[in-house]
Amino acid sequence: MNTSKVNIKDLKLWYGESEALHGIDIEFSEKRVTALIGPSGCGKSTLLRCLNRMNDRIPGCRIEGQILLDGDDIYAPEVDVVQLRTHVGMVFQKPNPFPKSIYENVAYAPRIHGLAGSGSDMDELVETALRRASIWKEVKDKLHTPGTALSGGQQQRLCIARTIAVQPNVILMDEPCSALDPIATAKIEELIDELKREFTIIMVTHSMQQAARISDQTAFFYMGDLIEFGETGTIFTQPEKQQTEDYITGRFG
Amino acid sequence: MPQHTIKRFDEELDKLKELVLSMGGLVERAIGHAVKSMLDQDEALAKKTIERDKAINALEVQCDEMTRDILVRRQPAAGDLRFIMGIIKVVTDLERMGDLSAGIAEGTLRSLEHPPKEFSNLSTMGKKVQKQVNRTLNAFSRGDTELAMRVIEKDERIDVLYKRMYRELLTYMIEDPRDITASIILSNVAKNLERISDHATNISEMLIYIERGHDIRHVDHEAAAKLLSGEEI
Amino acid sequence: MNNSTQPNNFISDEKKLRQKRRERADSRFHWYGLTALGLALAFLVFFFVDIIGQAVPAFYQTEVKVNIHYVEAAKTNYNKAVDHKLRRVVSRAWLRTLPVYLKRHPELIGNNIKQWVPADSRVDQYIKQHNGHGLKSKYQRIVDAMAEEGRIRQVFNIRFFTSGDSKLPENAGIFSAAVGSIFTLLITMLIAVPIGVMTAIYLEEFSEDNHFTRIIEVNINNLAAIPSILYGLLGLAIFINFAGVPRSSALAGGLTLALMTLPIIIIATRAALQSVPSSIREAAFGLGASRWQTTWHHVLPLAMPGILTGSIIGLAQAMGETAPLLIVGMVAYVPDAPDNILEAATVLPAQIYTWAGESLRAYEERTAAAILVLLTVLLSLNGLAVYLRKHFERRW
Repeated sequence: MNTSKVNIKDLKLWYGESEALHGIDIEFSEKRVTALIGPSGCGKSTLLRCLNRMNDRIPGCRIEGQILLDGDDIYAPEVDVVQLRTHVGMVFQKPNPFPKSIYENVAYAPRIHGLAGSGSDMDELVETALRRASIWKEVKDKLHTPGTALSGGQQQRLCIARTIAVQPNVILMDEPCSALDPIATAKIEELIDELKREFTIIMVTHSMQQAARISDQTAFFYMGDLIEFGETGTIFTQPEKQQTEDYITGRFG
Repeated sequence: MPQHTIKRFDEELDKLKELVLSMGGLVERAIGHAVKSMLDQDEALAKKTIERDKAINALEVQCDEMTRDILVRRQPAAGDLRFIMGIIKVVTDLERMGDLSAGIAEGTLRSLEHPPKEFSNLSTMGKKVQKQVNRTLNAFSRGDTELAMRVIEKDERIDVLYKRMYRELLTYMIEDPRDITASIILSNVAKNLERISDHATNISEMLIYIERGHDIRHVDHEAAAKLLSGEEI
Repeated sequence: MNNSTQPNNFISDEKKLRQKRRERADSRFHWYGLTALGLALAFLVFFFVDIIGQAVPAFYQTEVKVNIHYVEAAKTNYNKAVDHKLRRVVSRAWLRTLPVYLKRHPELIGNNIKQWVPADSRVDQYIKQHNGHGLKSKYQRIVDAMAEEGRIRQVFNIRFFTSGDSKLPENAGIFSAAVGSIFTLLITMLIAVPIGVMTAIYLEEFSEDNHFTRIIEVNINNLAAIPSILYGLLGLAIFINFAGVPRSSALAGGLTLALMTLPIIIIATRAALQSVPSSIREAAFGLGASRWQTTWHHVLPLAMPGILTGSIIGLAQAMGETAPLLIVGMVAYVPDAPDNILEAATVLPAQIYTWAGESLRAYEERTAAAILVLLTVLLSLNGLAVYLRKHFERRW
């Protein structure tokens, strides 16, 4: 079951002159939830953004090493970033639906990638995506109202629906619940639990309780190094490294 | 180990540990008094021991409240989590040990009407069990896993002592049926002591889990020793 | 709740004193602000009252009822059409049109018709009781007499809107200047808006942040602050001397104003693009949209209100500009409206400038009227900008 989906080999990353990641080796398993934890600036978000090459947009950012998705190097020169991003979707910290209708939000990516025409095919695709993001019941009667009019939690689930509409393999989540209240957070966590049946999910979170609640594996980063990586249950009860222990018990700095 | 960012959390953990240790102190004294009351056939001391068990029970409730508070407010993880889990078990063990001591004192009260002719090696066993409890508490207060390991190893000797005493009492009963009541009382007292030692062993095992994160409760001693010396990891 | 026997922590003499002092400072500040606002409003009201007061008479034209002699001689000498003593009373501009009119309608020859005709500007000014009307006392008496006979009336001055500039004030209007303004502004808009918006999009969404783009940025910001007359010199050098665009034409003016408006539009557009939250861009990139798709589908629609507002305000500024046009020859006497963008043209503010320099009293009210028209247009443009911004923002 635990086949490796994303394999990172000796990944180093620089922003200009400063090295932000110092040689990361990690394997993310297929159809599991991996949580990346660590204090701010430890490189976890940077690593996450390497996985769909969002860092390409940052001037002066360069990497060394390999990131293999199903065995293929995603930084190979002939790789089309646009194609990559249909395989590796991303959900952001702040819910950021487009200021368009709910329908348009979900239909946008399939349309620009030519996955469905605009007729009933698209209607079906939109409905499926919304259903899988467990938001269909709440929005089915107002598909043509603006997505920005939804509540924060609903917006975030809409963003997840938008992401899974193109059937990615991997979903990256950058602190998806940090702007949400506990109930909305619980709904997202429940959704993540559902989604891991089909998708490999890698999420950055600042809430250790959240990592403990929903992840199968946890990786602890500190100062651009991967300190410890293992089963979540083990990391949160008997971590091997002192730094991990200090961080998750709140003894840091 | 460095301090928690939330200093209050450290204070709470220290307080909890202190409370458990003071509970342990009461238990240790109760064992001593209970055994002494039997050996001296001292009714007053036995009654006092039974009365004092209430204090131990009260401390158990207090510890449980603190643990619950820490769980809900601090949501402890890793070492802290193991500590809290350990405390929950340790407190139960201590309370049981207190009850068993009270049981011994009750034995004393019953034996006043049927004074035993011979106490067999109750005195030795009492001292040894007390020593076990004392070691356990010391190990717990210092986080000394080696000492805890010794407690676990020495538990077997207590078992041997108990079995020997049991056989001896059996012989008395066969020799003279009039001694049966006294011997049964004594045998129960020895059984209580043996179980007190078992609880001390439990606490020591818990301590090793708290400190090292390995659960050695149901593995044999050699495997446990290997685990602790880090051969397997 | 408020028990007076209990000492209250919130009340003490010292605290009361402080509170009073604080409140006094607050109200003082309040009054400073109100005074400043009042002064500004007073200036504005004074300005508008003055302009409107001066401009209103320009919208009325005095007419006189006189006998017009449609005689053969009038074909060559239009003065023969009216009595000698009325020659300075009737508008010469109107008389001038008689020969042509007669040639077209020969059947009128020999008739003697009593009809209303426009009065001379001096008579007009005299009737409006303006100082410096310049009407000789001989004619004043004639006009007074005519007024008593009811042969003088005031009608709406349609000519002000339908005719071009003229040396005869009663015939002078803003039509040619308005057409010139429209032509010029259209050219400015067609050139400055697309170029400005595209430049801004490139700088904001596509270019990398390096020395080259930073230098461009600084220069654009500086360009917006350059005195506008320098753009006139630039326009003269580039468009007229180098590219050979006809002098005084709407094209030359439009191009010059486009140069001037460009930085304003670029800066406004960039500000509008910057105000689009970067989370929207991230969302689009994250879904695999290209740069172009991200900009076109998501960023531009959100920046549109800002871009429109900026562009319209830039254009309004261009519309009110005179200095650069002075250099490219658009501040000139242009009586006829241009038919195309290559013909000599003038613009409203230039017309105002020209009229303000005229000596005849009648031009004074026309200047004010033209200012009023220009102000109305500019305010409408700004109103349009506000409307568009509100309209687009309301979409979501």
